Amino acid sequence: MTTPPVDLSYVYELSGNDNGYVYNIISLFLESISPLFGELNALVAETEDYEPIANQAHFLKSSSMVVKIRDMHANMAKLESMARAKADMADLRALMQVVMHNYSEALPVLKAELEKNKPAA
Amino acid sequence: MTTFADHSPRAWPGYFLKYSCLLKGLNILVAEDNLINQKIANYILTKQGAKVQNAVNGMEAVQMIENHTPIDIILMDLQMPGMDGIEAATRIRKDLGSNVPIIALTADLYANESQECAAAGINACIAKPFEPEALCDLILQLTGRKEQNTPILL
Repeated sequence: MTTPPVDLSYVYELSGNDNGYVYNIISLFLESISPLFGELNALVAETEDYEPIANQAHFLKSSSMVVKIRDMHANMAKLESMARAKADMADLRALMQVVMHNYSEALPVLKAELEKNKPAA
Repeated sequence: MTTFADHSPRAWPGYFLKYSCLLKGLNILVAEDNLINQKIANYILTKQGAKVQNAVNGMEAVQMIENHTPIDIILMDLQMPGMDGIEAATRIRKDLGSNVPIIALTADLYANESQECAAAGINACIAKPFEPEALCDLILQLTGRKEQNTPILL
């Protein structure tokens, strides 16, 4: 069975059917967390600066437990651990490709969920 | 139709938040730099009647205690930019002599982190993302509103 690109069950459970709350959380994720994936991708692709990579991966790992993009928590934990161990950058870049692929699949789902929960004007 | 007897996993947390007001009158400081996690904690706590204040790093949390801001309990993320949760807790205990209860919020609690938390004077740890009922139960125990009847992860 294929894992869905994103699992929002925690947000829905917490919301108690409050669509406005679900909208706020997804909106906050798209505005404040989404850009960090691009930043992390650039850090991994263009630098060998392990500490900011580890810190950014840790931050995204923490965010990924609420809006659960497929395998994101495990991948961020692995990326953080690899960066702290100063592993081969080629391995970090390969893992980052998987992360960005999963993220790109989750993005349209998140936008659709945002629209679905949008408060009536 | 959802009824009060519906205790399915999807229905329960929302039910708990909607029909309880366990933390009324408590002043809670949430020290957390991640906006999503901060918003989740704020939502759970305010739904339960608590007054919530926020800090985005350890230094802000320390300053609030130093300035005698009324705080009954602190929820402290361990990894924050600038001053982290361990250092902030250490300063609150050792430099300021405050015994305000501190709960560490953590993504993964490693064995060495658990020891560091205990050494820093942190009272308990809870893993993110937290279940509303477990978080409230822990807060009630540490603020003396409920007898300690469940193990605290330290």
